[in-house]
Amino acid sequence: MEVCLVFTPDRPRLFSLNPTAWLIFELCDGRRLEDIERAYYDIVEPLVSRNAARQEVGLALAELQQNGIVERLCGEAG
Amino acid sequence: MARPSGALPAAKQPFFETPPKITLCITQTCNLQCKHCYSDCNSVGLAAELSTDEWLRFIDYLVSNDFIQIYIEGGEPLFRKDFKDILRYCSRKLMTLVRTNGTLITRETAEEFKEIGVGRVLVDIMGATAETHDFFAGVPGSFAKACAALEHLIDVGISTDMLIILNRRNVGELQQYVDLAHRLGVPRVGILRLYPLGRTKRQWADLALSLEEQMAALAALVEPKGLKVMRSWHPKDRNCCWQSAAVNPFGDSIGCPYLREYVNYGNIRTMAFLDTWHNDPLYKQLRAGEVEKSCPDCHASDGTRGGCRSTAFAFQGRWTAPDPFCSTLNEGVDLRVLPDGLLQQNREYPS
Repeated sequence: MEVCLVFTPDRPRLFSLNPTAWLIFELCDGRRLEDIERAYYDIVEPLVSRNAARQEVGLALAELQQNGIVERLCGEAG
Repeated sequence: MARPSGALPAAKQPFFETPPKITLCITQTCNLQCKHCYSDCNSVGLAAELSTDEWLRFIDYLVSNDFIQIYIEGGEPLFRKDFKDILRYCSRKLMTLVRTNGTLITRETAEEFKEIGVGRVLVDIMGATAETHDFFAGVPGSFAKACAALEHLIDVGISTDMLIILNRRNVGELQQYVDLAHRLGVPRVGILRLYPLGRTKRQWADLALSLEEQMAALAALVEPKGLKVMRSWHPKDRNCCWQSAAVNPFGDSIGCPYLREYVNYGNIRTMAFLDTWHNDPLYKQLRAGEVEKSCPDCHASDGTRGGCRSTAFAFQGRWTAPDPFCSTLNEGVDLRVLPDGLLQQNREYPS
């Protein structure tokens, strides 16, 4: 299985992202949360429902954020 | 016990188009005089070692080619005067690990490592007592300094490993060793096999254990709660070649530090490192995992074939041979006896 390796220099650690986390990480390019959710759903539907897709994005973003891999920009809500 | 298998599913063999990590053996010098030194180090640097500028240029090359992790070892890396410059340059953009004897790491050094952003420091300690460790290191006081280094590193919040090379002189204190690591607060211990390299070859009769003795010592170990113990014997005898990349102090691409006496895929002074990765026939062959036999248990746990290529080649003389350090693949090889000719193999380095 392919994985994405990510290095966080501020807290020097290496993370191995599975394809789902990798995809969501790639979508974190400055766009808003609802745009990330929509883009993710566009890719994974019809295998995953809209609600399930939203949950997957929420869980992945929380973990990515907790590990310092992504950060929430000022003004971004929800 | 599992039976060796000749044919394992190709799909499970790991594969990298390019390596994400690399070992830099940045010097063949050291402040200690270890009896078992794989690099046959001394305290005087050779002019042919890569210069500061050459290492920094190479690090730029690695970053621009999507490498993500660097493992720095020696010799003793801290014995190079430019070490911290090289370290700082790596740590900006690469997960950086350092293997060291620890004797040159003071509290101030540990704080500096933290500020630089070093990812992990692995400290070699060859026994649970000063008597045993200092016997190997050849310098009294080395044990105390190495233990102090671990305490400093842990204090400042740097991840640490404590490494021991299992042999006849320290096997009796293996339990004490992991208990010591636990007491020091070290989260991870690596128990490493003895490789017939460098000065170890000349000490082989005194140091080598039979495979049965090694397995018995590992089986008897009671791991303290919370301490992770890494070991590379059955059922986790890896063939790491699929991901291994390393460069020696003189710029030779050698795949893995444990292959240092057996291979040279080309020199980074005269060719791009990735040309050695993509084009050297032996490098490609070793990464493909083409072996005569595999242990199904080791394959199941790691997805790799045949065990370590360095010890397989050292004891069997063939790159495709099974690794005798795996109990399934040993086939009666007495690990206490070096094969004829291995003692005569000493790599010539430029002066």
